[in-house]
Amino acid sequence: MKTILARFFEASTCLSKRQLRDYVQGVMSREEKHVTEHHISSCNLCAEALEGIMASPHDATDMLETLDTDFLQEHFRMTSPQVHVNSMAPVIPARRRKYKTKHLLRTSGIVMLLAGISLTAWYLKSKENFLVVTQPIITNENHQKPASAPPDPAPAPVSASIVAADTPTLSATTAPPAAPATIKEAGRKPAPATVTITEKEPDEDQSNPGTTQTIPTEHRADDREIVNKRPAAPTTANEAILLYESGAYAEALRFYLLQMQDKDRHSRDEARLMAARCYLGMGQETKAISLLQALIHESSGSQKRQAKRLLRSIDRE
Amino acid sequence: METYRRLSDEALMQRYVQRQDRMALLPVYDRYGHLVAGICLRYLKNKDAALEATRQVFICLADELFSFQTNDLKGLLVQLAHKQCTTWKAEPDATGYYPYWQQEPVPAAACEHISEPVLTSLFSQLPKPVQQCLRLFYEQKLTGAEISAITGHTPEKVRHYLYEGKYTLSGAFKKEGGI
Repeated sequence: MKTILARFFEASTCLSKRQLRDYVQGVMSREEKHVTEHHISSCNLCAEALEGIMASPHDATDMLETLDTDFLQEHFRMTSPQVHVNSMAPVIPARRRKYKTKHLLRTSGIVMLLAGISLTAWYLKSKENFLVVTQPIITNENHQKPASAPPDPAPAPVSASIVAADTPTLSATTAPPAAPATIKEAGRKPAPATVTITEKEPDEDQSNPGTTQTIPTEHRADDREIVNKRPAAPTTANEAILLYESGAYAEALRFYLLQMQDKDRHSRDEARLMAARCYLGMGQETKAISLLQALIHESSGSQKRQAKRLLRSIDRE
Repeated sequence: METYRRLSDEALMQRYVQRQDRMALLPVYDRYGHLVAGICLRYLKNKDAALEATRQVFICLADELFSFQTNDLKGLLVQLAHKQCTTWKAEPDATGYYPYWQQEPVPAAACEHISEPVLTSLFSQLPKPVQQCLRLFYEQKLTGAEISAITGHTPEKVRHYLYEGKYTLSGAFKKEGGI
């Protein structure tokens, strides 16, 4: 009973023109007829329509043939000249439009903020670079004395990029120009030196005859020589190089000790390397070694490699 | 247009009313225009008059759908057709076979909550001819003409009995099922 009664309320679609026509004309199959009658028992619209068509089947057939939507479209044209044709496109809800605008504004703000930060950083960087001394890059390959090479009594030829050819070779008695080359050097306060120039430490290697002496003896500084033949402190890297090459390690060292306080890391490392060389020239291996070890630990790149090489040359790696 | 045909009646009405999409009314005419014409033909008994009345029904629907507060499009079309036929000076047959056409349809799950004995009891309360026609139609799946041949009732009477039985039971199911 339950199964039968449940079929009472089964949903079905309304009759089409063909079904109406076939039902009235009696050409419908038995099963389809049963389904049609099941539908009309629950659909007022179809039941009344079928009644009317069955009452006048001939008129109904003619009438069904002439049904069209032209009158409706004409009515729309008359009531309103513009008809909404394409309305199947989904209507964008205001919320989503608002969300899109909000999202766009947020993204734009973030992009502008990042652009502003980048511009500010670039400006500060360029300003800093403008103030930095534009010193030529001192490549150690030009000036470094190989550790195992025999001592060269003559000063090494200067590269063209460092000093002009007619500049006289600096000696201990020549006073280099005292004017500061850069604003940075002028404003720089003399940094507290970690070692004093006049201090002389015993050369540890002298007691050991077996150790290879790689520092030329004529370039080893003497305290008295430093005190008596002390030229003015070099103010440029060129001058310092010339002093180093001429054997005035103490004077050159003064420059490099100041240069070790520079803000630029590369300049600091270069200065440390050169200071280590000056110490070696002066026979102060301990200080040189400590400088080189610090350089190896803290720096990277060519300075680190050169420091290692130098340390190896004094057999203290 | 194919996309519109897939939409339900409620969706088409909503599209017409809310988005003012007049194209949504054309599939409605395709679905129910011939049925409205049949109703008009039933009362006016003239095909030209029925055609004109059908057009007026749909023009009225297009103009006033915004004001109707209903989701039952088919029921609305029946009412508009009756009203139009009245306008054409034809009285609708108030004593026709379908006195229960104002009832809302009962969902198929209505009798699931009702026990078998109760269902049997409700069914047995129907008039005998109605019971007979219902059994022949739903148990043996006969057509109206076959039932008419067996019972001796006219086909219209058979249709009436089926209609009456269905809606009497639906009222009883609603009551018993708490719908």
